[in-house]
Amino acid sequence: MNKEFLCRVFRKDDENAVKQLVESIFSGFLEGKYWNWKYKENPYFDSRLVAVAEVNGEIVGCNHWLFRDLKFSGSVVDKAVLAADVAVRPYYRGKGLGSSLLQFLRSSNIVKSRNVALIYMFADLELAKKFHTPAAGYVLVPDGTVQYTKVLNWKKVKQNIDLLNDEMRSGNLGRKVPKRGLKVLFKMSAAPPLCIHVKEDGLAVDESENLDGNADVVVSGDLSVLNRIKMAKRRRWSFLKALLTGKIKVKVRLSKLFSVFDALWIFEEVFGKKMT
Amino acid sequence: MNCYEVRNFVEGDEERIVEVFNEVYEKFSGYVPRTVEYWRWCCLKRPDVREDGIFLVFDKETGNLEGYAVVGLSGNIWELCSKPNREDVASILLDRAVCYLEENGVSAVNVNVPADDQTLNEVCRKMGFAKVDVHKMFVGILSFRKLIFMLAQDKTGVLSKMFREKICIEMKDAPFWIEKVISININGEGVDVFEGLVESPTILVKTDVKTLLSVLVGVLSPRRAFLSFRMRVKPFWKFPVVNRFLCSLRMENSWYWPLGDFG
Repeated sequence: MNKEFLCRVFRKDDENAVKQLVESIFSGFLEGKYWNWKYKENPYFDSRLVAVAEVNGEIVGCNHWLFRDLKFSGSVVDKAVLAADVAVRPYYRGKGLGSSLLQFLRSSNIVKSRNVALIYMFADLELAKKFHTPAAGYVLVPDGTVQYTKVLNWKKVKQNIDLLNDEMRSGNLGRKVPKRGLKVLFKMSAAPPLCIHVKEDGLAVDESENLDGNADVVVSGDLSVLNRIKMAKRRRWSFLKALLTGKIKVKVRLSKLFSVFDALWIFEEVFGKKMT
Repeated sequence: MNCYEVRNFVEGDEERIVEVFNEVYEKFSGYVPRTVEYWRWCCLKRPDVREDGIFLVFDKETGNLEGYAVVGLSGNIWELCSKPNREDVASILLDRAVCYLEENGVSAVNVNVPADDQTLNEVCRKMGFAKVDVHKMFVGILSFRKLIFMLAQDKTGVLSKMFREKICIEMKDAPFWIEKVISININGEGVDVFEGLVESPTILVKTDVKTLLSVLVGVLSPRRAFLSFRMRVKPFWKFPVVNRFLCSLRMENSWYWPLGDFG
């Protein structure tokens, strides 16, 4: 056991603290308000499969497992464990707390007594490479699932633009704002065209009809490529790589040749972390 | 062309929905069998799902349920299910889902479909969806003995005809919750898998946890594991036997998971 924190099984009186922790970490998904549904109301929920880590009596991490029937192969359907939410307060990350919670549950009596063969989980590749695979030896399954997306409107982008404009007006924006008058058009597959106009008082979405003719820079490409760039650690490098390999195309008016960097700035600032 | 009736979910539809889901998806690895209780929790009680976001398509003539979609206001189509090769049903469902989300001011719509379902993939493409690569499914091991036992039981007839061996597998890096040594005894009567060393094994396999799991899941071939020295076989000329054994044991289906199983 680690000296700094203690891992133990979830108790009934931990409910509020765990809920609060999960809500604070996963606030981006259904405002984090899904704990009751996901666990308490779940027909497979077993509180002995929830582990918490505490420091001086305060819960700073938790790990949720759920039993589920799962088909492995042929006619083999058996109980498996779904490794669901792992939440660790940011201050305690990188200190082995997540791994300890994982090992705690793996060695728990309930898992041993149920004689379960497999554990599974869903994660993006980056996170799995960084945390899950080294900590628990997870293996990527042969992918038979295709994920599709379609952007219906740019409501979230408009909200981001409002926030950005507030920052610009208050002078809190640390970076240089692009030249006034610049119009950048994003044309992506599975999304309506989006033209952003840099005005005197900030950025605005241009909803005029002739977007193609008006734009100074046109960035076009596949939504998934742009999504990947958004999620990449070094976005500029990813953007450049996609540009050089032809995965995205940029058309610039000759008089605004150097505005490509401004287009990149807009791309980085106005889209959320994940574009969809 | 068939005539369809589309309507929203009403209490009492659960059983037919569960039946269609199980019929369509039971062939995939990763399939979580639906029961009414599980479906009610997974879809109906989900915080972002309302009854007007669950669409059902019935064949007007037969009255059979041909497909359904469970659409959440977070923009996720938690379950999209249409009987095989029903392009029209899938189109109706996806169209309804998109309209519903547009009406509710949702910014984006996400859906998962099986890679080998040409019809659903085609419908998604036609409706202007783009492929994204966000989440992946991973598996880990809790008990090799149990896993190998279950896989072997599924093919016991074939295995006991093909092999007469006592195979012992030693895991180099097994953490404390995984068996360090497991033995597989295959004879004419069946396959026996247990923890520990079998008496006078005919084949000894030394490997590591990740390699064996990758081989069993089907992402690494035993031959490749052997050639890259991640798997050692004693005596080495018995490798073809080990190769055949592991190839017959490993999981073959592709893995599919609807969004509802993820969130």
